[in-house]
Amino acid sequence: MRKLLFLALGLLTAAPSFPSSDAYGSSRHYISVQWNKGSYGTTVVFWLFRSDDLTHYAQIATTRNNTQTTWTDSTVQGGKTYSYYVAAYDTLTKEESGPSDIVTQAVPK
Amino acid sequence: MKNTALLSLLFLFLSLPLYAQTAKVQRRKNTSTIGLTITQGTQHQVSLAWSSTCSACTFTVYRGLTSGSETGLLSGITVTNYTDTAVTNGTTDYYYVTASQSGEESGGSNEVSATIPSNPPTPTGLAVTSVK
Repeated sequence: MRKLLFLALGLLTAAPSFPSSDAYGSSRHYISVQWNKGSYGTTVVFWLFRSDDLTHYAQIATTRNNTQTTWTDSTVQGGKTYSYYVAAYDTLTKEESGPSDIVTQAVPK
Repeated sequence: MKNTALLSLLFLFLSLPLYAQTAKVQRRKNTSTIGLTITQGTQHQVSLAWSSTCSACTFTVYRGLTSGSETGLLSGITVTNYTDTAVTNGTTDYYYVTASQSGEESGGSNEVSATIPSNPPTPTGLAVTSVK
């Protein structure tokens, strides 16, 4: 019985280890963007597109829902410049909005 | 005596439209009744399907932007479905279908409607909040 209790305690305390803040150390780069909440229905999500040459854009993210209007892109490399735009997508009607304005940001080395 | 003549004249006048109405109904009796259903597509289209007891009939689809104001969209349809791809986003479209045989057209089916979804508005205010 006591063994079982210890086992349970052990399992509980051995929770999955999240990356410590050190994992995102000084060499780790990111760009955080945000956009206006607007008045979107609950079936809307946002698609975030990124380019590193200002010409070819690829979708890099889909938000959880219509209230998530921020995204942190931690797959950027130091010294490069990235451009982003965002579009709203209605998962119910399958209709996509036009692209937002483009924002461009250089990542420090 | 004079009254009776007037009365019968009045009766004649009153029964004239009634007679015309009956003739119309009888004409329509030749063709079948139609059950119309709508299955709304997602990408800017409306799909209509109907059933008819008249196998030799052709069908006419009527469309309008308000209920009761439909006009002929396409006639001579030999199948029992039609997909309207010329719809405008953000509108509600109304439809009914008639069956025709030997130049005689039936009354309209039940009316159905579909609301064509609009595109979501374009997001605004995109900005970088932090960079590292």
